[in-house]
Amino acid sequence: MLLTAETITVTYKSRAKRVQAVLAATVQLAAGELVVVSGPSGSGKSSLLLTLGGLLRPDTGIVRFRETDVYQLAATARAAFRNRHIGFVFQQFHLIPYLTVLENIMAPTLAGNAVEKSADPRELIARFQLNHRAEHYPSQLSTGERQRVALARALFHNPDVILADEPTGNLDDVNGRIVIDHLQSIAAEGRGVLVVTHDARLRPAATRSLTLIQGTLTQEKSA
Amino acid sequence: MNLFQLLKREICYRKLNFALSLTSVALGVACVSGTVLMLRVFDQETEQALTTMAQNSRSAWDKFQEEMRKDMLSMGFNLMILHKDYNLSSPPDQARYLPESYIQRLAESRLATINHVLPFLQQKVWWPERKRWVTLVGTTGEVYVQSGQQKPMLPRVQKDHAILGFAIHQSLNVKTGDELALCGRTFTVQECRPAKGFDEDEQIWIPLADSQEILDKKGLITGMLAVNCQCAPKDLIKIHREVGALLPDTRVVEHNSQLVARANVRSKSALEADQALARETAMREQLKEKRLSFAAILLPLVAMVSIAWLAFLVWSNVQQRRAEIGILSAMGVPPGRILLLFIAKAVVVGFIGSLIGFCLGVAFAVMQAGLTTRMLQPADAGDAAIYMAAAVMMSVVGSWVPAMLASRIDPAVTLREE
Repeated sequence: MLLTAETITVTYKSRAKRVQAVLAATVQLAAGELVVVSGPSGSGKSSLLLTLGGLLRPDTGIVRFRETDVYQLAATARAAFRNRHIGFVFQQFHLIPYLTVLENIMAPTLAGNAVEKSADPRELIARFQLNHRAEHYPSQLSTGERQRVALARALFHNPDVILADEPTGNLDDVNGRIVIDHLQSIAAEGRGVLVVTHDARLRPAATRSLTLIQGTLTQEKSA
Repeated sequence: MNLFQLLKREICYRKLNFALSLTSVALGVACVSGTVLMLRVFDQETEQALTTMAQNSRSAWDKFQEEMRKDMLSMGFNLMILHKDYNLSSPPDQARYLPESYIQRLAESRLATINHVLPFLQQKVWWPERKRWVTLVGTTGEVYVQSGQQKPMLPRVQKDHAILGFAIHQSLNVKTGDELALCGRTFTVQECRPAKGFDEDEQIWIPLADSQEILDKKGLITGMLAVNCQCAPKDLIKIHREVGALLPDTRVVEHNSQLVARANVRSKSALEADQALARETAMREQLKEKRLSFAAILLPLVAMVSIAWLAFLVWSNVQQRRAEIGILSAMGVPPGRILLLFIAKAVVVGFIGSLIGFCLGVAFAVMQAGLTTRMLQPADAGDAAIYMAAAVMMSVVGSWVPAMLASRIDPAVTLREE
């Protein structure tokens, strides 16, 4: 199993109240799987994704990547772990506005880790049909193109796992379909892909679907 | 892709933030370097002004001394070297003379206490052409004891000429250039002297050789007037001793009260000139102290304002880049490298800002204080390096807290917010 979360609980505490975003959730992601976690807004999908990606420490439970307890790693080591093994895709793309498409794709090199398995950025550009946009800035791209750049960036260091948060949330049907196809092909390459979304278009493409309602995860479908 | 390329791109992208940051550092450095350079200009101007003032004082003092000497001279001679058994009020039949060779001896002696002497042969004679008594003074003109570069104190009588005292030329109704018969000789009037109010008004001055012939005193003189003595009253004993040793059978007659008055006036004048200079120096020093005190308050204040403004700009930059920092963190960029990103920018801002600031400071000093390239010193390059290092430090200090905050941004929060 690539990525495993065991009975993780995430609680947000403020002065006035406590919000339980994820409640004793257990989820597993195997290589070659495309897992879709769906649920309404505020159900805790993003918190689950960030916890799985080593960005949000759970109150309880364990997140393992293969045999490694992710949250047992020190902050710097966990950053290096993310750099090597996890690729993120977000609804808002989070491209760096002053870097070109090519430079955005290569942004993971800013971590300064020597990664031998980095992909050829030109190949990624070709794969996501961005050849004519290589030297363009994010502001010059369409939303579909921006999300493809984000996908290419997520794949640059050849990660084992892709975690996508509403990757089709801002896209029309055509561009949404393109992104779904790419996610499927990424999973088909042997990577684990976990997508959190409320977009129903993604569920048919999933090998497994989960539903998260008020922090509680239930399994819906297995391919 | 490395951090410095990212830094360069970010600077080009957020030009306003970068320009404002540069402005903050540049103004701080400009204030410091401009103030230091202006203080330098002030120091040099002060030094120049004091030098000029000293020169002017010296010049005015020399002029005053010259005038005073002449005024004193008209009151009477400073020193008079006479035969030891004679004074000028003695009757003519008791007159005693000195050999004319004493003139040469004194001139060659280089006595330090006497500048120049006026040898003279003086006697009251009957003027047959005008049927009256007159005091005849024969003189060679001044003989220089020292370098010979002194200004003449008395008019020199030219050959076959005569200088007439006020009472003489008034009573005879003659003027300069007229011919005058005197004891069988003819002289041209060289000068008609203004009224002095004492015995000079009754004198006729002619060349020494002519007077010696008229008075039948070949090779003799009555005495020598020592004028323009560079002596204080206490030196008179020394003069007596030196002259006595050099010229046997002589005595030195001094008009003591005049001499003391003259010396006192000179001393007081010199003292007053020195005190005026000292007062000006003290005033300038006081002004400089005030400026330094002002700078001591202003400069730290400027530095603090610059740092605070820079800190605000960096904080603002961090706020703009929260999402970017979040995604960098998600991609595995460690907090230390995010900190480095902001600190590197602070170093760039400090370096470029200090260069601009130093140039502005120099320009300001040129425009406001008239700084010239001649006033710039090799040490200024060292100062510029110090300003640069200080500005970089200042920039890093100002950026440190916001940069630390940036490195601690929780990507989970930022990415969820976005």
